Amino acid sequence: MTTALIIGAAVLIVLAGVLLAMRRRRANLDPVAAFQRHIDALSPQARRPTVNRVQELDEGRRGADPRTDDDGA
Amino acid sequence: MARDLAIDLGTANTLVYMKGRGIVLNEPSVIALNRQTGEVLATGLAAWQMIGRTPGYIVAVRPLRGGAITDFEITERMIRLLLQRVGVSRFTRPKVVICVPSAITEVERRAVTDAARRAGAADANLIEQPMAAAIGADLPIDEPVGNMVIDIGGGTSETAVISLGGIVALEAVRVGSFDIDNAIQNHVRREHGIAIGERTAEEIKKKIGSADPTPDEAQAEVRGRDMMTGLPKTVLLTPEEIRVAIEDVVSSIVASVVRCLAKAPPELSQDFLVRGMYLVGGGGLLRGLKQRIARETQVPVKMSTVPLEAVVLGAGHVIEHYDKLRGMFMGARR
Repeated sequence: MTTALIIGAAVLIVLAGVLLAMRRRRANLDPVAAFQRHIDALSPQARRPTVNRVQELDEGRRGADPRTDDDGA
Repeated sequence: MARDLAIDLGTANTLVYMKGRGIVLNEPSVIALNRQTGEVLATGLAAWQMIGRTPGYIVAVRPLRGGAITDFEITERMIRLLLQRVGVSRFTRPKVVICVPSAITEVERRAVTDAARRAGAADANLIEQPMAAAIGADLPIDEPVGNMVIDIGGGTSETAVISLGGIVALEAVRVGSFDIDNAIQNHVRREHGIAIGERTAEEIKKKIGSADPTPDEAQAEVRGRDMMTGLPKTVLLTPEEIRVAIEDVVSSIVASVVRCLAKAPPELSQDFLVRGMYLVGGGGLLRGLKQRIARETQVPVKMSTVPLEAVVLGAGHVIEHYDKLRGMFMGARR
């Protein structure tokens, strides 16, 4: 009984994994969806956490060290 | 588990962004080596302070010129040391996105990715600097509008028109702020007969260098070695003569911006008049450059709020959304 349950659960997990992978693959192959994901990832909302993280770090650095680096990049 | 990294491998400075953390390293792209043993003695700021001041057995070099690797082995060692400093070991191999000038050749691209992989990266992908700069400068590149970014680095100047997440027009020249330093060095040697080092030339540029007349102009005293007598000598330089000395470099940069504008589709061109162009990169900090470009193109020019970090910030955003934005990598199918 227990063995059957374990096997059943394992089969369910494998099936769910396969379904998820198939869905992801289909989404990747769909050019419209892929382009939309690409554009969404470039939106100001998506970029906000990256910008905020750097601003926080910069403020922390300025608080700790008054020097500023204005060398060419 | 290694945190993935974005690297702005610039001719002048190298910046590293760590996924989930932000910018963790910002140092000059310089390495100091023992000439006899080949051992690395210093990197970054410590090595930069040695330039022109080393005894015979030490050499402080910039392994990149014009945005490209000039010495593969030294660059690889520099990248390896950089990765070690941000916590990468042989057991933690991160994915790495590296910003490079769009004008580099296929061979140069391969040199950068090979150097990164050999230095400890599990996977290395390249992204064009102007695209990364536009993302980092927070331009609305996800919209169907014309965004123009001018990235003036140490060895390259690139202008790009970006719309809907892709580059529409691009113009790049292998001229940057190091060429301005060289022009100042040559001018002081030719007109005043004294030799100065590259760090002194850079200081002159920062102090009195300008691309257009500015209201706060002052003269600068410069010390060097008299070419005739070999003795230390001091001369006074004016902003006007420095402006003349760097004119060729400045006009070459401005001309490339004009060429990029000419390449832009008319629908996007009209956007620039309203939205303006964005200046990023250390070279963009040259006094009067913003005004000079605006005057010659008749398009407003704005300075990015993060001119020095824009490129690595953009690449950092790509590493944060690696799977969604992998189409941006150089050589990837869009």
